[in-house]
Amino acid sequence: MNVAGSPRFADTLLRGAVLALFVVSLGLLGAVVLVRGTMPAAYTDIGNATQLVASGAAAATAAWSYYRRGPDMLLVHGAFAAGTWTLANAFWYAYFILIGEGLNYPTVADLGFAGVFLFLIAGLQEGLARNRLSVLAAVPIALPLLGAGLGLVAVLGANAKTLTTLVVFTLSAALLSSALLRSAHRHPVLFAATVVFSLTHILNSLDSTLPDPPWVTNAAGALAAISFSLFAIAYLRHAGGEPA
Amino acid sequence: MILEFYLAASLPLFFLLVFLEGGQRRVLAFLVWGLTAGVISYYVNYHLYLALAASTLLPEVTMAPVVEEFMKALPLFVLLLVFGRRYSKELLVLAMASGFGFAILENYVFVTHFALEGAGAIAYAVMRGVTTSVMHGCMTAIIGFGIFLTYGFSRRSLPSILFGLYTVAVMIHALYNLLVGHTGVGRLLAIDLPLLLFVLLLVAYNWDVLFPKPAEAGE
Repeated sequence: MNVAGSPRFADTLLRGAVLALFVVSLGLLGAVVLVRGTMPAAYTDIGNATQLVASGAAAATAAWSYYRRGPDMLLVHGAFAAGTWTLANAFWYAYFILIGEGLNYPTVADLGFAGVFLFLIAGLQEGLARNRLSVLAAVPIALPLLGAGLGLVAVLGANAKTLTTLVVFTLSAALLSSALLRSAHRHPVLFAATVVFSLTHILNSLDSTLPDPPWVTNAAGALAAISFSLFAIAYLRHAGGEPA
Repeated sequence: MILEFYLAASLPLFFLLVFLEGGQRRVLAFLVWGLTAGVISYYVNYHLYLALAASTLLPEVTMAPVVEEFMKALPLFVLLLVFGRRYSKELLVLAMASGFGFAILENYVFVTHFALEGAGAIAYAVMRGVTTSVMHGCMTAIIGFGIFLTYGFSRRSLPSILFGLYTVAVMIHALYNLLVGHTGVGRLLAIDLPLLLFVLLLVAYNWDVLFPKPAEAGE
């Protein structure tokens, strides 16, 4: 389906909205850097809401762009990825509100987050052409991440938390490697979104695994919102024929 | 008693399967699988509950959806990954049959567990019939319809898509179990969610009929 001749005001409106979300998300990240410690409850509420709105916006943007511009694998997988992340985070947040405590790690929400990685990897593989780089070019990305994941298992012991973190590190390595081998750097916003998304989940898993996590892991929520704002912008650019 | 109920319910259906052909046989086979998935999930969940009894986890929220959605959708995964079989949008109906088969068995477990009598029992059964049962059918149907929608994609990304669709079903199921266990707006939302999903799936399934392409509409 291609209805490119339809009014463009929706695109403009969406771009404005996701740019505003991006700015708010940057503000949240700035707050973490300024406080450098335990964040107040109000920050958590605002952060969780912003993440949900940003991921929902990314899903809607990808779906809308697919509807307007026609079949595109990057957009389909992007819509599935952002939609699944929204569901997983909505579950996590609802649990936090209703039960009054954080979910144990790992749990069903982490399964959802793992599914998002796979959708994003499939989106890159289906939506962008493979470049001429050898697979070995991904080794400098994959090796440190896998090494760090295995190192955590060795130091803290093999348990559900460390093994889940190893899975997250492995999925991050696979996602970043796919981005490299599919020349995602030619799509700067998409590349930035992919890197920030991986960083989000690396920090989140460290926050849940390390006995005394550093303050920087508090940035995971803000980074999630930033990554989905960037994904939304990338999908709009991609649908408009610009490099994503 | 659950194994006995399963055998009493499914064995006659095996005899019926002999007489059926084509699409009818497939739908009934998926329904029987749903009953089977119900029994297997019951025992797996039971042992997980025992193992996690001392933890702060809520197994019905955090474990049951993972086990149940996997068991219900297992034939879809096997058909695609092992046999490479391709179906039309009939896959939605087959998947939903598996979910409803599962729900029949689960309803038996819950109705007998609470041992209600009279109008209360009937009200409880009707309530489960239009909420939790529909939810089970719709969750598996989402996976089936998702697979149908992604037929054109390369085979390489099929495992990612299957796992992704599975996680979507698990997430909605977990959210439903979480909300339905509480009072207020959340519970009301959870009760309405299965019927809303059912209507959405019905519209998606009949999309070509409801919104025919211009050439078809002119005929």
